Amino acid sequence: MKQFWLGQLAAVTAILVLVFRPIALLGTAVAQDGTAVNFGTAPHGKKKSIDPGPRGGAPGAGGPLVGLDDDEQALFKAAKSRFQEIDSVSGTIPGEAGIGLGPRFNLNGCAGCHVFPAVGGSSPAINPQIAVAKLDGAKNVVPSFISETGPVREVRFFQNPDGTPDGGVHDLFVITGRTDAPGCNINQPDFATELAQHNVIFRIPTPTFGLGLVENVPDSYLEAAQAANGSVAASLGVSGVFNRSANDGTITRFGWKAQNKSLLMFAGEAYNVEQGVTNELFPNERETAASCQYNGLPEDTTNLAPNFNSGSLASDYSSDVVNFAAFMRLSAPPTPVPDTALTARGRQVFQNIGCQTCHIMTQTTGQSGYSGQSNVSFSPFSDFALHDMGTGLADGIAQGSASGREFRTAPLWGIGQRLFFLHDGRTADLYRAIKAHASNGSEANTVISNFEMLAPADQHALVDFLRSL
Amino acid sequence: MYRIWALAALACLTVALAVPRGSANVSAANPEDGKVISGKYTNKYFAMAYPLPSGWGEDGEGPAPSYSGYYVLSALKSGGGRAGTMLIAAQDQFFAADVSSRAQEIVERFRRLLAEIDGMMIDHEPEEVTISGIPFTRLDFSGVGLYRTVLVAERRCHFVSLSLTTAGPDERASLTESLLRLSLGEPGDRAEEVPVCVKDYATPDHVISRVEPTPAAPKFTLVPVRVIIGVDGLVRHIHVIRASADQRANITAALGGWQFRPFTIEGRPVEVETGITFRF
Repeated sequence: MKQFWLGQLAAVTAILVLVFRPIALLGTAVAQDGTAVNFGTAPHGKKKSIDPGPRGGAPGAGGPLVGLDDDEQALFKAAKSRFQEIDSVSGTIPGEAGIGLGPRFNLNGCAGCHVFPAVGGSSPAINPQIAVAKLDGAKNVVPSFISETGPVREVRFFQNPDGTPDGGVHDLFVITGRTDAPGCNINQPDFATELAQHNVIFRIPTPTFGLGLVENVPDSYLEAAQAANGSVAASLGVSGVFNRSANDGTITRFGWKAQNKSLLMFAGEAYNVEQGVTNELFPNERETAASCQYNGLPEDTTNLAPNFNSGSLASDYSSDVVNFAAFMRLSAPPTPVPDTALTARGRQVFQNIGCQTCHIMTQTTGQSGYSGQSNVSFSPFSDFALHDMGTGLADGIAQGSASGREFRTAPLWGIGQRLFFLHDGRTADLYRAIKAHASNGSEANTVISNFEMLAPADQHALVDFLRSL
Repeated sequence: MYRIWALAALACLTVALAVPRGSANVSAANPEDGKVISGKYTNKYFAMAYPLPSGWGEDGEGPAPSYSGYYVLSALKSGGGRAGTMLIAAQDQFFAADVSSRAQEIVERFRRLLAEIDGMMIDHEPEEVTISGIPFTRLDFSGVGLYRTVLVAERRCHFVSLSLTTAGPDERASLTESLLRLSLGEPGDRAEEVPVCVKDYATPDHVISRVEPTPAAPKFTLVPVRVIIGVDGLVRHIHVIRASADQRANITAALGGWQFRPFTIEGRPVEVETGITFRF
C-alpha cells in the first residue's frame, strides 16, 4: 500500500510538472509582457525635464510637395478635402456626409486623429474621441484611458478570452443609440475588466506628412542606408531588421511596426478598423451583428460618376481610400526651422552620441511617377527598420516579422510640433521619451547611456534641436 | 498498481523535460551565453574573462542576437556617477553584411564614418595592440564631451569588439588599462578542443545528405544558423541565432538528418564549425 501511494505521489508530481510547466513558461512570457507595458505612466527620471514643449508659430507642414504639376496639385487639394470628410452611418446626417461609420469605431473622420499641427498630422490638444462618444444620440461610455487633454488612442488586446494571442484593434465606440442606427444594440468592449487584467495596449496616430517620399524609396536604398551605418551601429549595440510583406517579400514601412506595405493599404485598413467603413481593400464588416448593418458593401467604392465636383476628376472618380492615400502621397514633409547656435550644437550631439544610427537623417527617393519627386533627398530621421526597444516599450503585439518588443524607428521630422510621444502616447515630454528608449533588451541602451553622460547643456541642445524639426 | 503509477510518472516527466530549448545540444556554449558573476565577465564560447573595475556591473540585458549574427554580449557600466560604459559585442563573420575579412578593415571603415560626423575628433589613428596575446585593432575618438575607444579582434570567425565610453580622457585611459586584465583563450578555460571555423562548408561538395526544414512564418526571413559538425560528419551542435519559435524547431529537426563529409586537416578528421542560412 505504501509503495502504491508513493507511486501515486510520483505520478501526481509528474503530472503537475507536465501540466504546469508550460503554463509557468507562458506565465513568464505574459508577466514579462505585462511588466513591460507601462499603462499610461511616464518613465520618471530624477532630472527635471528640459523639453521646452511643442514649437509654436505656423504649422511647418500640411501643404503639397514642391514640384507637383497643376493636375497633381488639384488632386492633392481635393484629396485633402476628402480626408477631412466626416462619416455617419449612412451619410444622412447634415455635415456628416461620409457613408459607413461603424458598427464599431474609434472616430468618424481621418482628420479628427490626424490633425495637429495641420491636417495630416497626429493627435490634437483636445481629444475628439470625447465628443464623438455621444454624438448623434450615441450612448458610449468614455473609457478611463481616454481624456480630454490626452492623446487619441486605439486599443489592442494581447489575448483572447481563451488565452490565445489576439493583437487586434478593439474599437472604443459603437453606433448603438445613434439616430442613424435604429435597432442596433451592441455593447462596447468591457475595457475596465481588460485593463484590470493587463490585457490592453494603446497606439496613437502616426503623422502622415511626406509619406509619398517614404513610399518611393527603393528597398535597395533603404538597405544601403542601413548598411552604410553598420560599423557605427555595431559599436553601439544596434542592429535592426526590416519588416517585409508576406506577399512579395519587399520592405513594409508604414505604421508603428512597419506592418503596412503601402499608403493605400494604410488608408484602407484604417478606414475599416478605425471608422468601420468597408472599402475595396477591406470589403467586409468586422462587426457582423445583423441588426447593425445598414449599407451595401463595400461602403466606399470607386465612383462611376464625378459627383464630387472637386476640380480633380481623378479625385472625383476615386474611392475615399484612394483619395486618402493620394493626400498622404502628395503631402510635403514637415519643414524645420532654421538652425540657431543651440540647435546646430544639438545636431552635432545627435550625431555624436549615435541617435542617427537608427534615426538616419537622409533618405533618397527613386524614380517617381509624380512631377519633381524623382531622386529627391529628404530628411525623415528614420531607417524604417525594426529595432528591439526592450521591455520598457514592449507592447507584446507581433505584426509581420515585428515581435512584441520591436518597433519601426519613428521618423522624427515634425517632432518639434508633436504633442504626444511613443507608440502609446505615454508622455508629452520629449526628454522622457528619449529616456524611455532604454530598458532591458533595448538596442538603444548604449546611445541613451551616451545621452546620460552628456553635459546638461548638451542634453538641452539635443532636445532643442529635436524641437526645431 | 504501483508499477502503473510509476510508469505514468516516468512518461510524464520524460515528456515534460523533453521540451525543446533552442538547440540540439545544450551543453555546447553559444556566444550570447556569457555573464557577469562576482564582478567578472566570463564567456565560455570565446574563452574570454574580464574582471570588471571596482564598482562596475552589468547595465541590464542586451537585445537578442540579430538576423545578421550581431550579438550584444554584455553592456557594462560604472556605478555611481556614470563615469563610463563598456559594450562587449560580436559580429558573426559568416552572416555579416560587411564583407570585410579583417578587424583592421572594420576599424578603418569605422574611422572613415566617424570622420564624416560633425564635431567628432579622431584622437588616435587605428593601431594594432595586443591583449592577452591576441591582436586587437584600436581606435580612439571623442566628441561632445565623450571619450571613446573601440577595440576589435577576430575570434572563432567573429569580430569581437569592445566599445568604451567615458566622460573624460583620464577615465578612458584608466578603463583601457583595465583591459590588461582581460584574458582570451587562457589554457584551462575550455573543456574541449575548439572546432575549426570554416565559412560556407555546407555546400554540395561537403553535404552528403540534407533535409529541408518545414516552412514556418514569418515568410521572407533569412535565418542564420551556426552548426558544429563532428568528426563523424553529423551535426553535433546547432545554434539557431535568430528565428521564430516555429522556424527554430523546424530547423533543429531538419539538421538532425544532415550528414557532411568530415573536415580533415592533414588527413585527420576534425570538428568544424560553419554557418548555414535558411530562407523561409
